[in-house]
Amino acid sequence: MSESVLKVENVQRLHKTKQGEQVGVHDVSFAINAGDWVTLLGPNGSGKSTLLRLISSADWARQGEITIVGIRVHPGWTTRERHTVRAALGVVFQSPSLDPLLTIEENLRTAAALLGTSDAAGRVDELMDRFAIADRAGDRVGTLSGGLKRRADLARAMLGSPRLLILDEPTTGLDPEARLSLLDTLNGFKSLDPAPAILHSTHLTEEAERSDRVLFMDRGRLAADATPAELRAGLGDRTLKIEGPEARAWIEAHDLRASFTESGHALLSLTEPELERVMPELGRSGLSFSVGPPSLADAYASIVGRELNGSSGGGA
Amino acid sequence: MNAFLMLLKREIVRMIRRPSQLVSTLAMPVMIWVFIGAGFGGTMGEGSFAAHLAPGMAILVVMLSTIMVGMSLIEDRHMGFLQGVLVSPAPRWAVAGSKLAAAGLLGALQGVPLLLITPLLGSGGSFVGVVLAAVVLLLTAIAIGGFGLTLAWWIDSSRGYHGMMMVLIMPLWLLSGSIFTPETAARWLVVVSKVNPVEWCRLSADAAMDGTLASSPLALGGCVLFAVAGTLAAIRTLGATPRTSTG
Repeated sequence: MSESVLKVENVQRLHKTKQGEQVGVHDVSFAINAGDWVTLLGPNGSGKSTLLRLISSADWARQGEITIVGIRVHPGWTTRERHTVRAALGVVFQSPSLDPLLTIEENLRTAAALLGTSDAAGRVDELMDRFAIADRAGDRVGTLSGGLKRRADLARAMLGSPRLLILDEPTTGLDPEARLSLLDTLNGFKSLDPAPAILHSTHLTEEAERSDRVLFMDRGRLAADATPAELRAGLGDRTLKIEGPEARAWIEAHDLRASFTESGHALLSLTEPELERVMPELGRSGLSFSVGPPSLADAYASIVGRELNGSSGGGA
Repeated sequence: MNAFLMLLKREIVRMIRRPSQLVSTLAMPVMIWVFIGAGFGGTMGEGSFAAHLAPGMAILVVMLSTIMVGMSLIEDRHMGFLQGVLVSPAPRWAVAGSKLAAAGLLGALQGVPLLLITPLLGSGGSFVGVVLAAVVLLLTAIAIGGFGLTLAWWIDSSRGYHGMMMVLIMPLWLLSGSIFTPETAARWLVVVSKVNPVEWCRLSADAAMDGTLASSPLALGGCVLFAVAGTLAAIRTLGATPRTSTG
């Protein structure tokens, strides 16, 4: 059985927005083993970034415990504990942690010095080769495309051969090709020895589909923790989505069971025979609807009760 | 130590790759010096007013250049570089220390040319005097840079920080004896200047240039204390306090 690289137990961290609203994370618990790729899936403002900041020790939890490689993350930790935990982490934030005035190589050498990497020059060269950025080593980061910057930032995060790789919406601003390439790279990390545990946040379901486990985040709380297949399994063969405020009345009139999102859409998980039975009448009702295989976006809407903003998965 | 040196190297490389910043911090004090020196040239009985202004102007160059230290911290935060450094195993003192060392070196280097011109204006001065005065400028840069970093840690906007620093720096400088002479100034101004740490540093720079630094232990001690206080403030602030998320 794999050891837990990360344990999060009943963690809470709240802060007030300028509008006076309390946001953050409430009572979140989960664990990740070595080699696992786990995705935090939720809309903007669901607490993903706050949680990742706590795990990466950029901020401290006010309640609960975070343990990384067996060491508790807290403000009173010793220098040795701090060094051990942070050396075990590779963190990729939403905006690359690179200096645009420095070249790729200069950035990586600076990062290697911060990590205290032995044979920094060799390690930097090795990672520039692995991430296919060696031919641009002398280019200033400010002149690179978003995809190249992200590859360089990922190389920076991998300098110390981290046990836990944390990625906060790493595909933000990337074109589809660069996004797929980044996800393939993450998938390739599974073959490393030792393979890092990956904790990755996104609001895109197609990214979450690639991971081993998905954690649904909603308003700072953990709403589900399961594999993509398990999350979809409760949704039947097909997902029927009926839009508009009249959906509820139609469903009640036909004695069907559905979950409703905050925007009033109805989601029905149906077997094929059930679908064949309702389709003719639904077609005559004039309601707007779509049918598709169950997706993580459907599972999110069904479990959380509201749709995943910005998700490209729609199930239709 | 390696982290400190690499971060210091980065600060210096960044400065070199943005020469406009170096030029702009030098230009204003030089203009003030030339214009005020020429305008009030006849007001001193003996000696050149421009020569009297020189140490104070060098101090102003240092103060203005060290504003950039805090700006660079805010910039590092906005560009995302700082978050990577803060979650790395490198100690926080290395972050604060590298910025202060860069501020000290660059501030002193920018101030020294002004000191070198002073002997040409008929005032005394020697090579040793210039070297000692450069050390005083370095201490001044570390002091102002330290308090600047402390302030920048809590301010998100570079404009807001710059405005705040100007509000703090210009009165400190004007209330030192950089422009006025104790013989001609109002008494209250002379009293205020005596408790102004910038005046301690200016007096030290002046004494270094005159070769009388050994006879100004109070001023020099005050300037050293000012630098130590700035350094401790910066290291303590950057070391102990997590910055709340903005996202």
